[in-house]
Amino acid sequence: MLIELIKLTESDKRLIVALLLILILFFVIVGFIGYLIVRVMKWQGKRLDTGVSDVVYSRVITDKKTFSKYAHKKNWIIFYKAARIPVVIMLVSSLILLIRDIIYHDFTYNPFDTTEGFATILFCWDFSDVIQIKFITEFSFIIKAPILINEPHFVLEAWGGYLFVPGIIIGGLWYLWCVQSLISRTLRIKKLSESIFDKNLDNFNQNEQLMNSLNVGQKPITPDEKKVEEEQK
Amino acid sequence: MEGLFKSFGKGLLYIFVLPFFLLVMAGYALVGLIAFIFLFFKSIILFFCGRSLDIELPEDKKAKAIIQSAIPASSNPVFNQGNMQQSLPSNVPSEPTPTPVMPAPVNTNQHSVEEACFNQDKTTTFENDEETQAETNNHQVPLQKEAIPSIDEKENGSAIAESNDSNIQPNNISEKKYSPKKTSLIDEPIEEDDKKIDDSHNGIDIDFKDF
Repeated sequence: MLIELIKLTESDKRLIVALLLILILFFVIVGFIGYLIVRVMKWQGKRLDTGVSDVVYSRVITDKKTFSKYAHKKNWIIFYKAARIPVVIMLVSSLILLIRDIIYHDFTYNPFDTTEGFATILFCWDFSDVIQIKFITEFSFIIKAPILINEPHFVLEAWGGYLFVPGIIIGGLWYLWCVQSLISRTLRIKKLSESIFDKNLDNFNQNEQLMNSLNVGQKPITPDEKKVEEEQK
Repeated sequence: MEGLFKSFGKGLLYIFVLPFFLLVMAGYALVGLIAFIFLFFKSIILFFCGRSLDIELPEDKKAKAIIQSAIPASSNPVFNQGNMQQSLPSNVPSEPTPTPVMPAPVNTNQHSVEEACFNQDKTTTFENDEETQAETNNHQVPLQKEAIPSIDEKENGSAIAESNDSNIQPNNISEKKYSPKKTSLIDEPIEEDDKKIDDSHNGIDIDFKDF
């Protein structure tokens, strides 16, 4: 009954098809990005092997628990060594912002602001009224062009923002990369600790070995035949 | 088309998994920050104690010592290239052999990296005892079995460390230092002169199948 009430025009149908296509394309792109992330994480995890292979080859570590403990310890040290630079970048950026606030006596300063922040050197649009959808009285779908509210221009007072924002973005992304490596290595440790010391009995059959040793299906050798064989030898 | 549907399904799955992944990532980032601060102060304390927060743990040092002691004892020519070069006089230019070089027979006694680090399987060692003896005489490198721990010793983790540390003598350690990151001992291309030397020894076949 509800379906009968909905009457779609030809343009509405086209719009729905277009939206569906966009949705499918979006999921495909997300799937591709996810696949790339998985590949990158596998590559990051593989780098652990360089560090832990010697102790495994030389049998210094011979059990799962010790290996896991050793590998995790090493994992954290690798993370610490890798994360030093991004953390320093972020700290320096924060220090610059603090110095700027102290100089101007303004601790309410927003470094992302469009008047005195980093956004002064960016194009900024107002997206608040771009899409208008009405369902209750009538079905309408209106798309408006966003309004440009800021054009790139240099403001001297925004130097704190100019230094802080790129630093914090670069340092943050770099730190997240290190965290992702940490997660990848942790997963790799889990996988390796299960596989290296694995005792697999999939292709082992004790009965099969026993039956092969008994010459099953062959006629038992009589003492006379045994003598003849020995004489021939 | 199948790949497209697969990507679409994966995309759908990743959209559902994304919040959990971000949650795990945020958790690890927070724990990582705490661990970073802890390790930072630890490294400062270690610095004033005259040490440093090294990536090389005691287990790595033991492994390094075992591998380094196993290199001169190994009959694998890849490991003993340095020794062979030193044994030859440097001022004598190597002349090309006039006779055509016959393909060397496949040396079944070549050892893998694991075998080089440790003894061979005991059964195979007994079978090929005479051959290995002859081979060691040819190479002028005595097998130092005392330096290499047996399998029984390996099971006892603490015992192995002590035994290895005590058994490693300066003579046993090769001049080329082993580094876990540097694989120059294996990957370095053999120079033309070395190749000729190998051919003159007749029967050294470098097989990389174990790598």
